[in-house]
Amino acid sequence: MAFWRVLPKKKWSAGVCCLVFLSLVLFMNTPSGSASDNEAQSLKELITKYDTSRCKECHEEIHAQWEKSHHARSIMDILMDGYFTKGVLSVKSPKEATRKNFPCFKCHFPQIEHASDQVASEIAEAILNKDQETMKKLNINCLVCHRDMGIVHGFPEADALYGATDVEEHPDDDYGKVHRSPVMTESVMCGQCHGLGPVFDFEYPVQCATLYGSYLHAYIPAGGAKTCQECHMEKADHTCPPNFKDRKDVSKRLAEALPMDVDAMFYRPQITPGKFVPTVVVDTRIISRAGHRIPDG
Amino acid sequence: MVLEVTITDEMNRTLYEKNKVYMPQSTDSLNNAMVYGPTHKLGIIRDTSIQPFAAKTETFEASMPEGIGKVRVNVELSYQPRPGDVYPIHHKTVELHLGKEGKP
Repeated sequence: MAFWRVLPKKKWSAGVCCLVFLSLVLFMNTPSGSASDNEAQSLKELITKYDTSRCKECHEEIHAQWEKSHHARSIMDILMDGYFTKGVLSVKSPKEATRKNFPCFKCHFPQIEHASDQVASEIAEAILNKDQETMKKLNINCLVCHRDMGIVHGFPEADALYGATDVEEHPDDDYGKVHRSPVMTESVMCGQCHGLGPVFDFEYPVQCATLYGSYLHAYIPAGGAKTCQECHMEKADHTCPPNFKDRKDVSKRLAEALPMDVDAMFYRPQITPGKFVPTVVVDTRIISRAGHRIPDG
Repeated sequence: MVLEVTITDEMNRTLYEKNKVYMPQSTDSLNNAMVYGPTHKLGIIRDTSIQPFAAKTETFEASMPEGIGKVRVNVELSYQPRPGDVYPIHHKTVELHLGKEGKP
């Protein structure tokens, strides 16, 4: 017998009211722009939704810095080589691919959260066809950091961006205001992706970035007090060095972060009485000034 | 990170070479074999990387053949994310005169 037949009428009505109320609460708490309410149905639609040419019109210098950054090529050089041809994530044809095939996209292309499996299939096709022109358009851009990831307490407002300061009238048709987000200048902002280590959210867990874990559990306990941004976004530099394509600069930054002393001596120790062994002794000492282990990622 | 120490004589012959590798090392947590790549790694099981504010010190002791007059000690620190992909960081050279065999 169905439960409503055994309940008194008053209790049954109260139950219905509770269900309606709960549904309303759940609906109101659904994050704006979540995958369920406004999924892009094609890759073109998703790329258009995250197009940042509008940002470039006013923030030309910052946009140019970003274009040189690794954030601007977060897929290129990473997923193009064998990603779908071997291992547990491999597929026989792009049509088989769904969002589940892209655990790395949690950070390398978080926009996928707002896309359907059809989009995942199109990306798989681009990867398998080595379609670099399409892959270049998939990146971590202005709207990822200044909207989707711009706050960590609660969900972003649909028509707002987030930055280091408030901007009451932001001249943009879709994003007419910028809210100050306190986390924008905190390490936790970067820690959302430059992560803590193993991510168990997926059917096949992966070990993502461990950088923020090292920052939290090695640098801070050792007395470190700088934020990620102080070293990697000095003066709001959106190139976010190191840029591993700029090999000289990477070497320079590593030399500054890891000063090394070398001492060498020669002598003739006599460990076995009467037997002198010409010996060179080399002592090396490397100190790290970095805010995380090196190497790390 | 790779620290390489090489000692050569005046004829540029290598008398000693050794390296130390500084890196976190992971398995896939299915067996004890080290793996590369984030889609394979799952759990660091050994970490020889250079930690914040912690000095990494090494001592290399190299026995030399008798009769060598002068040696050149080369110490190189480099970042090598992949084999053959080398970002030089430091290169220091020390010359040592070994002198004649000493008598106590």
